[in-house]
Amino acid sequence: MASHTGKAWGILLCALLVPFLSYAQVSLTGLERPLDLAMTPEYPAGGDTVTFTVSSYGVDLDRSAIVWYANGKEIARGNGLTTTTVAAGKLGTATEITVIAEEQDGLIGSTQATIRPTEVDLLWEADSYSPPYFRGRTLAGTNATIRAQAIVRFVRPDGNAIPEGDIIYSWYKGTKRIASGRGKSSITAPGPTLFGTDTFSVTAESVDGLYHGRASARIDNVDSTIELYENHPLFGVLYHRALIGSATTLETELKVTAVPYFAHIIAPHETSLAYEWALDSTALAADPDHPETFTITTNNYTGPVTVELSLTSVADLFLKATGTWEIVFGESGSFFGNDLFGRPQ
Amino acid sequence: MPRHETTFRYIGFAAISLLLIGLAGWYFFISRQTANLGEVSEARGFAVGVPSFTGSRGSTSENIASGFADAPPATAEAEPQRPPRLWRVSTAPVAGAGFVSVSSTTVLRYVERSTGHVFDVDPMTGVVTRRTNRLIPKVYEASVGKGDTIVARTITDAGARETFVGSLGTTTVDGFTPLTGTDLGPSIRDIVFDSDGVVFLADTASGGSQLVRAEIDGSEPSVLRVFGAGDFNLSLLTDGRIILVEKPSSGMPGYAYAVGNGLVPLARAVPGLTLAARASSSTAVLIGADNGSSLSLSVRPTPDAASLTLDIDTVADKCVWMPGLSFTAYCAVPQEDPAPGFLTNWHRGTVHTTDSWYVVDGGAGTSDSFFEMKSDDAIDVERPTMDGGGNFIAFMNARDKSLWLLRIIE
Repeated sequence: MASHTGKAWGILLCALLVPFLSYAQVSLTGLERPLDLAMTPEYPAGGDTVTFTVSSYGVDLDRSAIVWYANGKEIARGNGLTTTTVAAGKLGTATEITVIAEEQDGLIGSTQATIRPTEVDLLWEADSYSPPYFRGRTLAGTNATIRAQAIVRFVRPDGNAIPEGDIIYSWYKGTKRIASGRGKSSITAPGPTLFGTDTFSVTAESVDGLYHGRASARIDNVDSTIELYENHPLFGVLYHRALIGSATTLETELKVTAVPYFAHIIAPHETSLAYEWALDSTALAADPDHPETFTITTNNYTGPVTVELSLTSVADLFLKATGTWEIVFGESGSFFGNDLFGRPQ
Repeated sequence: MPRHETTFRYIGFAAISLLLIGLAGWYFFISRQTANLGEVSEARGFAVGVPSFTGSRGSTSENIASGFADAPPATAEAEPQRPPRLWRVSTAPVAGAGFVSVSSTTVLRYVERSTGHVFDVDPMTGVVTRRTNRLIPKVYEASVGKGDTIVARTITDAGARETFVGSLGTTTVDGFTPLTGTDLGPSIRDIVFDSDGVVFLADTASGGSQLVRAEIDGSEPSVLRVFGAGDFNLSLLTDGRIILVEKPSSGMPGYAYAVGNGLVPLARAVPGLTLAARASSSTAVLIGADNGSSLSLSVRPTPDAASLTLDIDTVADKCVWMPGLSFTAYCAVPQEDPAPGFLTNWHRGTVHTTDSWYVVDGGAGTSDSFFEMKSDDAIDVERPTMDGGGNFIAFMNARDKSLWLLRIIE
């Protein structure tokens, strides 16, 4: 008899609760206690795995039954289940996340969040020097100016991208906001100081406030370094083959060109630069028109010579680059098909 | 009086002696300075005549002349022979090369670096034909396009870029085809041919860059996209898509895009990014990464698919997709793990690799050894390109800019 009574009470309780929970899925009363919902990453991209964590001061979540819904469909349930993960949809989708927590005494809390995947790319370049047709990244030397560009992809459910002019950009260098504005998708700013590192970041928000995104780039200051290349009379500067350590050549005359990578200059022959060349410790005056280039003639000498170069600038007191190379003038042979500089013997 | 005369005589002798000693000292001082200046002048080469580049140390000109093709004979008059499977087309440095179709025949066309002369190579017979005699000295970069078009990029004495875009004529004069064109100016950062003209990335007055499509002579430019910042390497696929890959540095996150209706991301925030996109609607890509200490290569068969990490460690710039429906790519792979910071050092010419060829199944994400190059050749592959039939890979050796041709089928 008692067991029958208990079963009857159980059925009655279920009958009362099921409609309530069903109701909770489609529309909450608005009288629930608010919960806090954290989303990681804060600005998810399409396909990202998003972790949600719910917390509350008003509801004892550890003693609550917690149910998670994505677009109205239950995705997780459990006592004290304060964390769950959701896969973000593609760009242009919206995934509504609802979480409902019910304490044993019937106190209910709920909150909602929407995943609108966005993508923000932060591109940058420095105005430091690198030779023409250099296919690598020009890094930020001392006193470099950084130009940065945000590429934002905010896509509405109808597939239309939000135009740049309808996005508000906020630019930061470290924690300091350095620029902001509607449609301001690019900036120019001083680069990191000597031996320093700056983190440039940009947050983007659509004018209607529905879409948000963020990107950042860590930019290190790099020391300018000199590479030395053969400046061949027929082929020009052999940028593909730097002189490394001790280099052997079979030429009787060798013209070499120094390239100050990532120095804060426009051209290596500009007058603010001071090239101090030395050959076997004998200081030699540089060619005033092209001080970055130096010609060595052997006069039938064979053997090693040491080339030293020191580069400074009156316009950039932090610029100080030095290099030492040994060039061995060989006996005989031909130029092509022989190991010349840095090529394994 | 006699005593005075004697005194004056002694003083006179002493004065004359001092004067002679002084003059002798001055003579030796001047002589030493002259010797120093002579040593300095000799060291700088002021005491020698204009170098002839001939003699026992070899002749550069002769080397250039003899540099065209190791084997078989290089002239049209010679009996055609089938070239070896791996053939050094030119030992002399070249500025760029590509496959073109001439009278329905596939031809490897290249631009010689020192002169800018254009050569055509029949990859089946090995016959090399010089097409032009217009002198464009010191061509650092070159590319060839459809319709007998050529880009030759040089550097002015002031260090500025020059981009000559021209086309070969339809007639010949003294056996050579006239090459006419125009200089697009110093603002061109990178340039490729598209179906009807050129696409280039050019500096803007504000310091950024803009992507422009124009006719061969630079006329009728239309701006496709303006960038406030971002420095890219530009390429164009045979399906017409323009590919922008942010210039890489070891460990530095980079981005790549296909330019169409907006910028379609192909890879995002990949450290030391290099990318080779396949020309088809499937948009498969090979993605190379240099995290600062090591290289890795992965393939993504479709935009929505997960990337499959390959078991070869190289950069995507050493890879080329086979044209057609196949998901096959060929990659040159360093035979020894490069030292940390490879990409940064490679672009500065301070480090080189010795490569061998691997074939990649882009659908399965697997790779197999394909062709082992002799170690004594020490080839550091760059700018590989494949003919439309998928029969040959042409590439340059980054060590010396020589041009090579690899036949796919033995």
